Amino acid sequence: MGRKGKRRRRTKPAATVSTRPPSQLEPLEQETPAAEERSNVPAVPTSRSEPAAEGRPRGLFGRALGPESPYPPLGVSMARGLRPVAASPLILGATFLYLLAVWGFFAAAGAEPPTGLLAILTALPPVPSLFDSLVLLQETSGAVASLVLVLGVTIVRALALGAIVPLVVQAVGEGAVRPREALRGYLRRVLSLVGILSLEVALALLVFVLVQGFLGSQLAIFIVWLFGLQFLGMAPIVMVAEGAPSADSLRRSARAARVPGMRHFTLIIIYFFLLQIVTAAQGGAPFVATPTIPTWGFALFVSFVHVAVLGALAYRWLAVREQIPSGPVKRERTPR
Amino acid sequence: MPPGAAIRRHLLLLPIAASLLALGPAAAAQRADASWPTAGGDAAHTGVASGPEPPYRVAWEVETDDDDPICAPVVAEGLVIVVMRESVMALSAGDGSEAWSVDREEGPAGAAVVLGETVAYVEGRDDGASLVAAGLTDGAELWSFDLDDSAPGPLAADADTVFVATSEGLVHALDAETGEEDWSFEVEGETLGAPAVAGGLVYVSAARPSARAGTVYAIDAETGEEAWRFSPSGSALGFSSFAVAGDLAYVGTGDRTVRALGVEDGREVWSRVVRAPFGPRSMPAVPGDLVVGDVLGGVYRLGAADGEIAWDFRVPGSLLSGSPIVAGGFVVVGDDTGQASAIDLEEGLLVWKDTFGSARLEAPAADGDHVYLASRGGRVVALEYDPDAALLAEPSPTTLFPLQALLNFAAAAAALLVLLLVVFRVVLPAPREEAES
Repeated sequence: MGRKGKRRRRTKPAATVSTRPPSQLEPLEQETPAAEERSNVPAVPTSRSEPAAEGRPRGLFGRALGPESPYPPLGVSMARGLRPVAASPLILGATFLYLLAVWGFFAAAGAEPPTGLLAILTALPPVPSLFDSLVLLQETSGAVASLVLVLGVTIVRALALGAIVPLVVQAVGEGAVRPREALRGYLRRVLSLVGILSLEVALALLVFVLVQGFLGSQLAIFIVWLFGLQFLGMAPIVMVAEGAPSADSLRRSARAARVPGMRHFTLIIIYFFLLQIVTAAQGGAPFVATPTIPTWGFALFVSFVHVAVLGALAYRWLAVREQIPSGPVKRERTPR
Repeated sequence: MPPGAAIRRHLLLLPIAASLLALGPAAAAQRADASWPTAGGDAAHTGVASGPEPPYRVAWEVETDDDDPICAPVVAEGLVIVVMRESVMALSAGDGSEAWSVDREEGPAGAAVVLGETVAYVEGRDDGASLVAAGLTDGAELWSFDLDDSAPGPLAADADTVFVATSEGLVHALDAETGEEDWSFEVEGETLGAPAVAGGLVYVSAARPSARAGTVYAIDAETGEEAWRFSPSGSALGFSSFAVAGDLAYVGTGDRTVRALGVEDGREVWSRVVRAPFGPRSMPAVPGDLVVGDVLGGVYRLGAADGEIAWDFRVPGSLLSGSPIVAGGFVVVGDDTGQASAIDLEEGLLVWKDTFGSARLEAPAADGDHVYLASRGGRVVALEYDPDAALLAEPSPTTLFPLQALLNFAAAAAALLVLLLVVFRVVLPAPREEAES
C-alpha cells in the first residue's frame, strides 16, 4: 500500500498531460469526423497509470532516452491489459477459436504450419502478415493460388479480430465485456480490418523483398516484425476504439508510435523478443501435422499472451488517444 | 507435397498407385549384386539393393574414436570403405574387423569409388587437394592426381574412368589405370554433388550463387564435350545429384522441384514441386519409381514417368547429406539427428527406426546382406535383418488426422481456460478499485 501511495503522489491525470514539446506534431483539427464517430469506449482511468506529467524526463535512463513517454508504464499497461483479458471466458474462448480457425485454414489449404510456428499464428498484426505470405508461397505453386490463399487467411483473421479486438478494448476500457454492444457494427469492422490487414501484407512483403537482398531473409523478417509492430501494431485498436477507417487507423497507429519517449518501443521490443523465444523454443521440434495436446497447449498459452499484449496496447491507446491527432499534421521546426 | 493435397491425390490416383505397387518389388529386385561400389549404388545412382529387409538389428558396430567418417560408405569385394576425416578405412563387411587403414590428408571429401581392384578417394583441400587411387585389398597408393581444388562431392566411375568434380567447377575424367587425365570440363559455378554416369554421358549439377542460378550439364564421357545443359529458374542453392534410369535423368533443383530430363537432349519431361530444396550429395533412388529426399527430411515416392507423388514421409532430421536408398523393397534413410528409418516403399509407412547417436548419418549403403551406416559421430554400423522383431506401421508425421487434432485442441483449450479463469478470477481477482473503475 505504501508503494502505491508513493506512486500516486508522482502521478498526474493523462487528460492534463502535455507531453509534446514544441518540436512535436501539432494537430490541425482538434476534432475530426473520425473522432466524432468514436465508439463509446471511455478513456481509461488514469489515476494509477502514471503517465508522464512533465516534459522533463525522470531517472537516469529517462534522461538518457529523451522526453518521458505519455504512455503508462510497462508494468501498469501489462497488468491492465492482462487481467480483463484473462478473466473473460469470452475473450479467451474467442482467442482460442481464432487459433483453431487459422490453423484450420492452413490445414485445409494443405499447408499445415510447422509445429514450431503454431504459437505465432495468432501473433499481433502485422507479424502474421509476413508469416502467412511466406508459408503459403512456400506450400503452394503458382502466384494466383498463393494470392487467393493469402486473401483467404486475411479474411479469416479479420473475422476473428473483428470480434476479439472490440471485446478486448471494451474489457480494458470499461472493465466488463458486453458482447452485444461490443459486436455492434461487426461487418463494417471486418471490412475495415480486411483493408488494414491487406495493406499490412502488402507492406510486409514489400519491405521483406527489399531488405532480403541486402541483409538476408532472417534479418528481413526481424525488421518487418519489429517495425511493423512498432508502427502498425495499434491499427486494429484505433479502428475499433475510434471507428476510424483503415487508412486513418494505420496513420494514427504510426503517429502513436512516434510520440516522445521509449515506452511504446519498450513494450514492442519485449514482445518482439518473446516472439523470438517462442519460435526458438519450438523451432527445432519435429514437424507434426496433427498437433498433440502439449503442442496445442503451448500454442494456446502463447495466443493468450498475444491477446494480453493486445490488451496492454489497447490500454495504452485509450490512455493517449486524445493526444494522437487524427487529421493531417504540420511539422514545426525546433527553435534552436 | 502438402499432406492435404496428398490425401486428395491418393484418392484420385488409386488405379495408378495400384499399378505402381505391382511394379515396385520387381524393380527393387533388379539389383542383386553384393556390392555398393559408389555413392548411389552404381554409376547411374539408381540406389537399389536386393536386401536386407527391415526390421533391422545391429550386426556389428565400429567406433572410430576421434576420426569421424565424413561421407557415405561404399562396399566392394567384402570390404566396407569409409573415408574419414584423417584416414581411409576398410572394414570387413562380415564382422567389421579392420582390413586396412591409411592416413589421409584432412579436407572435404565425398564417398570413395571402387573400380575392380582399385579404390579412389579425395584428400586435402583447396590447392592441396588430390585424388588418390589405392589398392582395394591393402590401401597402398597406386597413383594420385593433383586437383588444385577441393572436391567435396562423391566420386563416380564407369568401366575404366574415374570422374571427380571440384568445388570451383572443373569436372575431371581420369584413367583408372594410370591416373592420367583424359579430359576436363569447366561448368559455370560450383559443383558440390556427385557426377552420375550412364549411357555415355556424365551428369553434373552446378550452382552459381552470385547469379542466384544453377545449371545441370550432360557431358560426353568419352570426349568431355558438352552434350546439353539445362538451367531451371529459381535459387542456385539446393541442387541434388543426378540419378539416371532408362531415357530419363532425374535431379532435384534449387526451386525445390524434382525434374525429369530426357537423356537425349535435356528436355524437361516433367517436374514436381516438393516442400524443400535438396542436399548436394542427395540423389534420387530409382526402384522403378523415384524416391527422393529433401533437406527438411521429406522423403517422396514419385512416379518415374509422370512425377505424380504416391506418398511422402517426413523423417525427424534433415537430409543435408543423407540420401534415401532402397533395400529389399524398403526405403532406408539416415538423417541429421542420427536416426535411421525404413519406410515401406508401397504404403509410405514407417516400418522401422533406430537412433545411432545424435550426429548426422550419411547416405546408407547396402549389399544384400547388410545396410551400412556411417555417422559423423564416429561410428560405422552394419544392420542385418532381425527375424525376431516386428515391423511398425507408423504414418508420416505429415499426415493430418483432423478429428484427433480437434480433440487434442479441445482438451488443451479446456484445460487452459479453466486454469486461467481460476487464476485470474479466484486466486488473483481484480482489486475492488480497479474493478469499479
